[in-house]
Amino acid sequence: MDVIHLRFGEHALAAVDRLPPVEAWPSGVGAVDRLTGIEGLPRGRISVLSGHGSCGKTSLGLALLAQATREFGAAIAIDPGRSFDPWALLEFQPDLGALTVVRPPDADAVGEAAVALAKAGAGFLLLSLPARVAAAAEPWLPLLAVAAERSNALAVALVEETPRSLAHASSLSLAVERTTWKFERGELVGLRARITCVKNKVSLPGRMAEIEINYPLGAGLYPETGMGEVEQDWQERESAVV
Amino acid sequence: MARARVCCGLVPHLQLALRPDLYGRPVIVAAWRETVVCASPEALEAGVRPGMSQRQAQQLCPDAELLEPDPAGAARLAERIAAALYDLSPVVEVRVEGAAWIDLEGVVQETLALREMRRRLRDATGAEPRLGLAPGPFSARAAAARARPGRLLSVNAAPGFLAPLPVGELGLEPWQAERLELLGLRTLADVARIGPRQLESQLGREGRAAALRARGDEPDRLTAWVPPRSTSAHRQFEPPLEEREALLFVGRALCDELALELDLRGAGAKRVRMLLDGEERESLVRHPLSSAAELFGLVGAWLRQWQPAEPVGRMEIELPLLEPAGRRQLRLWVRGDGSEEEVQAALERLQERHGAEVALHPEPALAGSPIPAQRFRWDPVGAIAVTPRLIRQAPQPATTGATLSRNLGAFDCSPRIAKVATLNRQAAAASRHADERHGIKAARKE
Repeated sequence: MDVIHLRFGEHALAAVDRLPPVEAWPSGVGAVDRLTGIEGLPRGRISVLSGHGSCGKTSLGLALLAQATREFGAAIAIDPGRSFDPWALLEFQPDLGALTVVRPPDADAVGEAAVALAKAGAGFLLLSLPARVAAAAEPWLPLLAVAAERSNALAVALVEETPRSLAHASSLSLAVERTTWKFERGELVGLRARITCVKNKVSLPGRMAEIEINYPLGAGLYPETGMGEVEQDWQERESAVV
Repeated sequence: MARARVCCGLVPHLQLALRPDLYGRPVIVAAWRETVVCASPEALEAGVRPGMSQRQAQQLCPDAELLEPDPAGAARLAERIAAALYDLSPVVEVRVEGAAWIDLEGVVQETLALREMRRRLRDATGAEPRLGLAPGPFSARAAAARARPGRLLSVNAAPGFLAPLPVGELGLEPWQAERLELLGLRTLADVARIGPRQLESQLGREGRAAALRARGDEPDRLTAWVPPRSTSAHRQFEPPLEEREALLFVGRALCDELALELDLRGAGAKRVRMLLDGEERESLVRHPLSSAAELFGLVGAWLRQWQPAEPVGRMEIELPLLEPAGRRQLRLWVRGDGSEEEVQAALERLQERHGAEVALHPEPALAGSPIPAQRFRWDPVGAIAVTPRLIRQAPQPATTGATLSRNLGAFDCSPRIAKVATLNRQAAAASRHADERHGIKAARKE
């Protein structure tokens, strides 16, 4: 042990009780914070939001991104699919001055950008990964995990299906599933989604919560838009699972 | 009253600074049977003067240590000092005579810059510098010459300070000094009184400049040090080399040489090019390389993959694009939020590799438009990095000689810019806070 300490430093080998605690970033979405078990998303780690189309994962990701723009100096959205529209973000009142959208031209460049920015210390990275990009992410995901850990950056990946490499590299994986659509006066105004913590390296996995997402009907035109938590459901689920 | 804005630091002649172990002893720097280049204060006390013959100097001071001149070493040291001071101000001049100037125009934390200047000069030369702060380079040097080692003499009114000084301060040729003596001009006040036109008729163009200096008008401009932009190293083989191992060995040696130079210059290589006779390999690296191991990591990989068609007669490694190595560790330079500058640097590197459109800032345009493309304007990151109304004004050419933009054009990403950007951001944050407090958020966006 002395030799290892001498060659690689004190951090290379440490007793479990001396490991630094995982730092939590309160995301502003109460349900998500409670699911993680540490009252926030783990900093310096990769988190995954997965779910099929129209399940609410992008809205959830945007809510996290908006909170990050208000709290971090640099919040980055990596958007290889060129589908990111800041208009949808406005509902969550972001600070657009802190937001940068990176649109890498190919799958390799996605990894390059994510690793470089995590290494540089970007506070929050939202990676919207289409299936083809997620499938080719294996080479750079370990690098991203290391870079994020060193700089304490928080990386959140949005995927439809979590590939094995991403499942392995991530510390927290939340599966989002739409439970029901929400109608008012015959019009679709949002949805309810169930979030399940399918992997958690920093606390107990398996918790569930339900959230309500109200769709924006125009910037500033519908004050009730945004994200709400179904408190009663949450309480019931928590007692059932934990 | 002109504001003091140029700081001069005086250290021993850089030829002497190459041997700090000889400080305090009489030293003469001169080639055998040549003239004296410089001498230590102890040798000067014995009557030795630069320009006199080496034999005469040794007769005057027989105990003195005789050193061979090393102009290349002194130039390297000057480069190193300039690179160290460049972090403090974009306009820096260093002379091998042992004088260094920085222009403090626009520098926000002057006291910190002066303290750092003293520390860096001391680290580079091993001697406490004497510092002078005055409105121009000439008066700053005169002030520094009268300061005690490790102390700063600040002069706000240059004419009053210069008036009683002897004409020897003007650094004129011996015949010109003699002419002044004949004219009865013994102090700078005398020279200032006679006026530039009259003195020009006596001494030529130098006379005019001397009169302006004596008046405190500061006709001299600092010759701003420009950071190195490229470097290279090569080897010629006779007979041509064929073995890969031998090429790897030479490649490593070249990388060692280049790394040493990068270290001296405080720079890192962003682009690496290798030429083997007619063949060429080039790469734009993600992070600036500055150590031999980093350089050889790339060059060695090329050499291992390379399939030689014929023996190699020449190997050259060129680093055509350099940037300050401080760029790699901005959080060491910038207080508080250095990582923001690093993120900016990372985004710029991505833009260099994949085009400006790879990193964009969304700015609300017509947020209520039904057409998604009209709702936001997408600006490439570099295009709006610095808000023009917030950045400080660059010094005018008439007052500094070399403009700020000239220097920063070479290295738009220097730690200096990072500092300016940080200040701008802080100012913007303060402004935003004030706006929000008064409920005028819309006005800020415009």
